[in-house]
Amino acid sequence: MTKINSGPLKNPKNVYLTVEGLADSKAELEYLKKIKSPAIVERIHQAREYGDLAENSEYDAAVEEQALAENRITELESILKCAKVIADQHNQDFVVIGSTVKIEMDGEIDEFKIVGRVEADPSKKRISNESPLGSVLLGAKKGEEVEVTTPIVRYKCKVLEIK
Amino acid sequence: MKNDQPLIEFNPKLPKLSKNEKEVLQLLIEAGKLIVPIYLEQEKQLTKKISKEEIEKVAEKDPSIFSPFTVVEKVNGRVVTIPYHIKYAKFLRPIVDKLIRASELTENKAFSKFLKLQSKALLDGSYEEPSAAWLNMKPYILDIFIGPVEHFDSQLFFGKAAYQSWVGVVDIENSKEVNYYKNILLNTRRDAIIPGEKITNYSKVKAKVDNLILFSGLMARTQFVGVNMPKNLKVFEKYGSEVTLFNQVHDKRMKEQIVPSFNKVFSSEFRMGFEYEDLRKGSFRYIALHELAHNYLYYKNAFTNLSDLLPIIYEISATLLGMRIAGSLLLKDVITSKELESMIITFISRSLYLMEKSKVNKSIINYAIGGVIFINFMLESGALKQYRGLAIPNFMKIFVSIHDLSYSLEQILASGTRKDAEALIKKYGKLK
Repeated sequence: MTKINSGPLKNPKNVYLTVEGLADSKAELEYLKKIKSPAIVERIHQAREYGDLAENSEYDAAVEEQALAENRITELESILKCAKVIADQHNQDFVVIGSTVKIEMDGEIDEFKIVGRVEADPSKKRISNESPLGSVLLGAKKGEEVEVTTPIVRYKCKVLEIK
Repeated sequence: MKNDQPLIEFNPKLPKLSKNEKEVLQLLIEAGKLIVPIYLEQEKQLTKKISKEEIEKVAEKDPSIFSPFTVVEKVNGRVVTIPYHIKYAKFLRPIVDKLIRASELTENKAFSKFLKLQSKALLDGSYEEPSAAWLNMKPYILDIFIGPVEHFDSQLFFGKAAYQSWVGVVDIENSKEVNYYKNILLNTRRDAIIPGEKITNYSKVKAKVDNLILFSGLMARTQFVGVNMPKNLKVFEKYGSEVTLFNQVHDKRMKEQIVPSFNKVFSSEFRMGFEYEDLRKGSFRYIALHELAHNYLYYKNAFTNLSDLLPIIYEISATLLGMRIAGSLLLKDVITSKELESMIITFISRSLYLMEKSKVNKSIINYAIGGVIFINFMLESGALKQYRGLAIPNFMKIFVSIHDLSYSLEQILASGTRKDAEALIKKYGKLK
């Protein structure tokens, strides 16, 4: 299951999600609302019955968990409200959000999918379209060499394949 | 009076452990402390000199003289080779007793098996078996290394101080972060300079961070913040390896080395751009990436080709490759420019610290020379400038120079000769 990242949205009007990411977000929201939140409320209720709330670690933990769950619900609702779903079928002539790209850069051969920021997870081969590498690759064609620059790092990156 | 015992104890905040885990941990701590007398014996051995010619003469008939797990000494004027487990048997017995008791007590079957094999290895020299058992184990909350570590430093082949131990409890949160980097790095195929020469086993690389309770023996002397074990390439090829980082030793290094050196070499205006937390994370990240980068740098013939100069080239290569990899992480939005800058300046601070301290602490000499190579290379390229005793870095130029130096060093590891390594060290590695 894709974990949709937390954190403030830079541009809430453009939240790109894959079809899978959209389904996972909806499933997570439903789970939080229908299963997790009621369970936390029940735990808080039980913890209250243990008495003295000042030294009640069960109560504190449950309240903290409730705050986290509520934040996550707000976040997911905001993401789903602004979500633009990336088509599964796309042009393979040039890189778009949703493309899987094979590149060569600094002696590395790497392959990853370009996704919206909220779905990005480089450890799972999903790179944000807003990252220096993701943004410069958008629009690039197979065989094209693009330059990725930041104030410190500057690399040439060759597109080997677009899927 | 200065405490010169090879034992450092820490008192970290530990996660909730079961009663059984607490009891097992206590036995591991007791076993770890018992490494101290063996290490002290080995240090005494270092002062007994035997000439290189004498060693080579014996090697013609007895190649075991070059084993990383033997002591070489003179008995009645004759050079003899004695395996560690025989030479230090009387010191090893009480350690084995503790480990056996821990193996009988623990409720984790795989850990029990590992402890039994480790006990056996200490008494008969079968060190590969516990390494294999450990690397095949699922992650476990208790952590111990105990026994001799292989030196690939032939300067010490006739008297090695190699016994060490660490005991800790895994820091689950920080381990997740290091594993996150590991998953990004080792899933990417990095081209080898000479592909056929490289040994790889990326899928079996593990990583963890420990809350450390003790360092004894060699680890207490070197105070490494990170290690990548095992060092034996054949074992790595078969079973993989594990990177371990130590929170408390890192905090100690920050306080005693990085922060004082940073305050000394950078101007107050420059220093205002970095909070302590930036430096702490920068230092921890460069060490984590250094240890992970080792896994990309195993070349079959590097030891034979570079001999005693291998550790210098190998260690600085890993740091610089780690920095290059950090550049790629920056482009993928995993780290920020500020975080990469923090990695670079903490490494500069550490290098300058080592340059001073290597005069008194010889166990860090290889790292110090590596740091000097880095600093001198940066000065020569203009990436680092000196003005009135202060260092002025240009991060973009530093990153380009890191790339160039890293490539040259990896070429030496892949196919260079001892002469090539010596030339580079002569040009850039002079302690001034």
